[in-house]
Amino acid sequence: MNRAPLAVAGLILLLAASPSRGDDWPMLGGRPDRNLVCAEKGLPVAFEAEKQQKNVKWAVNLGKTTYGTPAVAGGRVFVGTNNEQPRDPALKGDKGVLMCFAEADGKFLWQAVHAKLETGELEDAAFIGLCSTPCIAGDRLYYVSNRAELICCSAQDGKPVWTLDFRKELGVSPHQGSASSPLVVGDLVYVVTGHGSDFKKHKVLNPKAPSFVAVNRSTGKLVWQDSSPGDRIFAGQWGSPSYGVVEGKAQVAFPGGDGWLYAFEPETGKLLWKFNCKAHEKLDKDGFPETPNQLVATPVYAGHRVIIATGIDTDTNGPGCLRAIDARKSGDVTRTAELWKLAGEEFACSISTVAVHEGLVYAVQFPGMFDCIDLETGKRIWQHDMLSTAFGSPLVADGKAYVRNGDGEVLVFQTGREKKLLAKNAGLPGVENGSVVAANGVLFVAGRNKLYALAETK
Amino acid sequence: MLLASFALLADAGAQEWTRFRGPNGSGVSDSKSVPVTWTEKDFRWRVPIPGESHCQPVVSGDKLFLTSAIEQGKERMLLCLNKADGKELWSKKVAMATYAKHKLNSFASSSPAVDKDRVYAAFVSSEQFLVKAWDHSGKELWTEDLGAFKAQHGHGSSPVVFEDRLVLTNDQDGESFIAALDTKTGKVAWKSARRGGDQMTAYGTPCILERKGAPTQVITSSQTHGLSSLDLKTGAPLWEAKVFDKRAVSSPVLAGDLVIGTCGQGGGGSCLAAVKIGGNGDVTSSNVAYTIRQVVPYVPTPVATADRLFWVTDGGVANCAELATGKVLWSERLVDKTIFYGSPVAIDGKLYIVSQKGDMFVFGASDSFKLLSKNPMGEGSHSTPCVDGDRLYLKTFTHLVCVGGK
Repeated sequence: MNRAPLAVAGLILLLAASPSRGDDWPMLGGRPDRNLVCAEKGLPVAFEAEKQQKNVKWAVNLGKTTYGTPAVAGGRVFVGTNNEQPRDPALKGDKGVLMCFAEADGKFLWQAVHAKLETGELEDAAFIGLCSTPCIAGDRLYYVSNRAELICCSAQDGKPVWTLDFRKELGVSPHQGSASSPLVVGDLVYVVTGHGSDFKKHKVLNPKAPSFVAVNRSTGKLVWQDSSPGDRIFAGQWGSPSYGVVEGKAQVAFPGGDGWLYAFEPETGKLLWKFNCKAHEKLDKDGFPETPNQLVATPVYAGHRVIIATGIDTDTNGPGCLRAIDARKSGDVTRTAELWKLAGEEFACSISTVAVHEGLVYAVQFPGMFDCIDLETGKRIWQHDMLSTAFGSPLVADGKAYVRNGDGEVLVFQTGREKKLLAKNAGLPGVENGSVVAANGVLFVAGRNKLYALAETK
Repeated sequence: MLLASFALLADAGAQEWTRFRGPNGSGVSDSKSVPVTWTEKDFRWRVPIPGESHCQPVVSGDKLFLTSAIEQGKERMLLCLNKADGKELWSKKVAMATYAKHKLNSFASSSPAVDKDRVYAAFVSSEQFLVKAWDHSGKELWTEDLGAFKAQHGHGSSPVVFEDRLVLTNDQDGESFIAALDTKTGKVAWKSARRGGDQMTAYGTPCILERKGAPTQVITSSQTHGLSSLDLKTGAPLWEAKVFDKRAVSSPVLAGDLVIGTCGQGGGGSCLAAVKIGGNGDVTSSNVAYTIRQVVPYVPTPVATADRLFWVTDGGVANCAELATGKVLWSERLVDKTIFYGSPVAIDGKLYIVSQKGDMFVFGASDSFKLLSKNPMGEGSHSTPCVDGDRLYLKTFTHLVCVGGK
């Protein structure tokens, strides 16, 4: 009975706390629930930067490969990239780089540069750069380096505060790359360590090393750890955790490299539930699942539901599965918590995170289909074929859904049950696959080698 | 009468699918009688091939030649089959070291090349680049080692024969060059240095340009040189259009006065470029007819007909454009839960391409999209079909399949 007034009070509080210019986008997904929806208004629908400049506020060079998405907070924009267009001519060669720019004009402020791992390709593939999307909390910035370190530094100047080296201190061995994007809630930082199977021996050499950790954000000290996927990690673990409050109780969900989703009590690391997102797959005669799909996408909390797709990077366009899981149950909930799924011929593999908005789920399939799905029933309402392989995740803002394909085109749809394409923007130069994020009335698009800030110009 | 027969013979000779992607790498067959629809029961024959390979078989007379590799590439093979029934006539094994490659590549993705006297194949490892020749009865004639081969994803380029020269491209992460070998002796006639380097390996197979008043040329596709030309006689670089900023995996295609090529990376193609033939030195600013950056292929090679260009993206979207202008007429998805690494071939106004799952899609080479059929090949494939008269041969991962014929 008290819930409605409380919610209204919360909303008022939220509105009061928000600056009038809009909100920051301080982490992957913008918020701890990772739901790709934001309250920004007046974002540009059409923009161009090739033949003429239209609604381009500023653009800056990055490296030549950019897998992370930008995070925006405190007047700064942060993005991970590589060192193929060095900001510092004295620092040559392949590196992982985190760059910081002024949100107002794109002025380069500082960068944190990390040497490649001495173990080479197997743990830190060439030219992938720094893949983690940072999380900003107050004046601190948290990210995972290409060297599998969780780093806390000053958001103002990048000065290190503490570092937790997953390899040296926890026995972690990443598979081709460390890519998890940290999540800060309260005093804790949650992150996937990126532990993986040995690239050559095809097995997990140290199954006791943790995959999921919670770290004190002030001290960098480990609060709890969990090695759940153990020896069953197929390859690497590149996913990121999400945080939700379900029936008044907080939980944090970690995507595992075994295709299971694990939810824990945030403060203690006690397992609340786990779900096998590959349960629909047949096993071959040797007991291996039929696809290499796992959880690369980030789980999204929407009320009592968690939504996540299965998939893997570039090498297969095969069938995947999008699921809504009931997050109110406990234990192994694979058989009991599936609310709906789209699988088989219904949904291809996907490494994209979903946006859930007004009873609709916006999802991207790897071959390039953009879907609008009913949140209650899992029924597809409409679909648009972007014709080009898509890695990125959508953004819902101001009654529109933005989505980017592998050719860098940004398609803008009206949200809702009727499909309406408002604009199809040609790829911005230097931009390919990735996501679109918004903060403070501006869209940010980071591509292979450029970062654009897009805003309505009068 | 006699003249007519000669003309027919000459035509049949020109049409023999003696190299990767058939006549001069065009992917275009003049056959009129290859089936459009079939089931597995309709296979003329299907035979197991040892190991795994993604090559395309080549034809000479009544023989088929193909490559394979067993035990993680520790043994490479050249096989000769009777094209009537797929029975093995002879096979040769070459012991080599294994090496790191892309998991979707094979240790025998390079196809053989054949002329009336000899069959040629290239096998690489980190230490060796072996080029070998046998006669059609399997007698080994010569071996030449072009040296170390360094590449992140393995090897793909096939040898090409023109008159008495065997051309090999060797654009790789280490020391790179294009080489022409004497077909009779295997001796290196020339080597032309190339700008290789880290992650600069190219995987395409060259084609040969013959034009009145110009030297015969080798046309290649690579990230560092873009679409480029060398004098076939001397190896001297003639012109290059630096149109690529990504990896070149598909092969260059000659189409009228244009050379077409594509580049890409990871998730797909990023640029299809058409370059006007001719000029000297760096022609990047003068000879680029057009580039297309949306919905273009990374691995599959395009096919040009008289005035149209067709391509299928790795993700399964078929496209048709005006050859002269690059204006896209249509883009239509063939299928969405598989991927395409083999290249399409054009047969009698239709395009044939196999998916990774092993379905041969046939669609019209026409100004409006029409999917004609989807036919099983019995197994997945990353290969390109070989067309021979009324038959089509396709290497699947572990088998060779023959469709059509009487």
